[in-house]
Amino acid sequence: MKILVVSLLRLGDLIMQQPLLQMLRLKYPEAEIHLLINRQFASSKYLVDNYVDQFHFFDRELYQRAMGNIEYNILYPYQHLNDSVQKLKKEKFDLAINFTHNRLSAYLCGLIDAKEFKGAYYKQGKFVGINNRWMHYFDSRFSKNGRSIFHYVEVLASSFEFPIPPRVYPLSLENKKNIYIQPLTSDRKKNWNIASYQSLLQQLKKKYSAFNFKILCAPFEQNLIEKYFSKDDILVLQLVELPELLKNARALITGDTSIMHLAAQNGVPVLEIAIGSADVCKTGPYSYAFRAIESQISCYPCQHSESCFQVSHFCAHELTVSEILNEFQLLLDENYHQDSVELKNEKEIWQAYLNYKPCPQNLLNQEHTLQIYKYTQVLGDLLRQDNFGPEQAQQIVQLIRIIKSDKQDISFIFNPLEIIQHTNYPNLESLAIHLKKATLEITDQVVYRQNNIEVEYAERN
Amino acid sequence: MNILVVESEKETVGEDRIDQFFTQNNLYQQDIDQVKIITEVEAHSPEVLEWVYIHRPLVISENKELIAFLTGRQSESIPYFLGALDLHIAQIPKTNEVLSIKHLMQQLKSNQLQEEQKQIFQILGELIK
Repeated sequence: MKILVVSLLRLGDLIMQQPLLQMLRLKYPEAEIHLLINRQFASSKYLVDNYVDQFHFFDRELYQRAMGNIEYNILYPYQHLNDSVQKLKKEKFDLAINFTHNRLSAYLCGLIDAKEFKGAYYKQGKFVGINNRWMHYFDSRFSKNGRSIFHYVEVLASSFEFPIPPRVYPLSLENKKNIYIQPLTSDRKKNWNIASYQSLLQQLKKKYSAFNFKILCAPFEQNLIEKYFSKDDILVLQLVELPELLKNARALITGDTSIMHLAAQNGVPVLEIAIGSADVCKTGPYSYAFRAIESQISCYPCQHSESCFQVSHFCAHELTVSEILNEFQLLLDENYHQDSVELKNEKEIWQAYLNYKPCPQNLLNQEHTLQIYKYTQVLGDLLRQDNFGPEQAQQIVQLIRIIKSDKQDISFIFNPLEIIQHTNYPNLESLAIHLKKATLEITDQVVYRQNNIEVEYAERN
Repeated sequence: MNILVVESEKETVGEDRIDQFFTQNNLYQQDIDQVKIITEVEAHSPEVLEWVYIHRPLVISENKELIAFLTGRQSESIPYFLGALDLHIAQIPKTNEVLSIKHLMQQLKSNQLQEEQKQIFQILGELIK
């Protein structure tokens, strides 16, 4: 059996997908597994090559460069991409699995002519392949700014019917004295103030003299880092050197970075400083040994693809050094992150729904959770009706009214865009009009919330 | 020596492609003339337009119109490029602008392209959003 996995996102996603590839290998031990990744990560393929027989590369940067430069033949990217697609077709894959879940990867998967598909692909003018409840959940919660109570790894594994990879337990921490700090992320809005890191390092050194603290950075970050830290405190490393370094790490303090995922996979306790678009529930460290400090500002977490729209980077400013120090002490005490009882219950209910199972009996008595279950069931069933039409749209409008009158967090249960994008309703314009009235109030609430963030921030400080 | 290759179609210049060479060293012209690839091109390509001994950005900026023509980014030359790949895109806008994939994307629906060809353009379209 020949399987192609399509993974065309960023490096952090590829690292998070490592346990999924492991599960795929377990499920199909005899299969020949091929992985398609962006060419820019070709040098990082060692991170997953235990589970992959052959790599293919997507020349994203080349295509972008060729499209923007007049010295390239206007059809060069077309021709190059067409050649790559033909090569993939010749492999005659039995199964193509789309981990990426965006339009680009769906178009690409649709061209490959595999015998079977898992995940989104494009055929005969339609996006198809989102054919179980987990995939619908993934589609609505992980594209744009949906909220998820499950981790990316859990949702992907369930969507593709793999066993859910176990979270990693911490390795023995005895005699480990090295604490690493990675201040910079790949996205400015996920960076805590670098001057605050400077102050944090000073205080950590003062308070924990038995440990060695080092600031980590990549070669291209070195100039900036050297403006804030002495050379003795800095370790400049390539990604390939990190797994070895992490073997002797006692802990890592970081924003949402690739090294965070690597550390989690290697059982290194992680303290994540989650601001901007970093969402701990969705893409935090996939291990048991972590703590996360999250911004409490209402616009957090923001959308990944958009830059910060606030007049100031409030989510970064509001987190103080002393808060980070407190969290770090808890991490050292091995007092790791735990889901609240409410969240555990909510997860159970959603899992029951998403796995097509009845709601657990012990939770049926809890009015709040039962309501969520009911709404989820009704909405989910409405959306998946083949004959979705004005009547169903009207029912959804009714449902929104009921949810709102019940004072549930409507944005969590319901996203109007999901309905517009993922139903078979033939007249989207008319559906949009149906929904507009019901959603107007939600839109107002969002605008109101955004306008009040500055006030809220000023009051809190 | 860095070599800038401007890809083109036969019909636009009567040759497979136009090669432009530029150097970062202070080579004398007679040294450049000895470079194997140049002598080969001269031997087999009687229609070489010119050798340009200037910095790369200048090559681009001073020959923008010519390069755009040679690479199919002008209304007059693009049909040759589409024809070579058997792409049936009619109604390319008559414009003095330098054409890009975006201009082709706008024409996808109304043209006789196969589904697969459209889909490849759609992938490229996702990269320029």
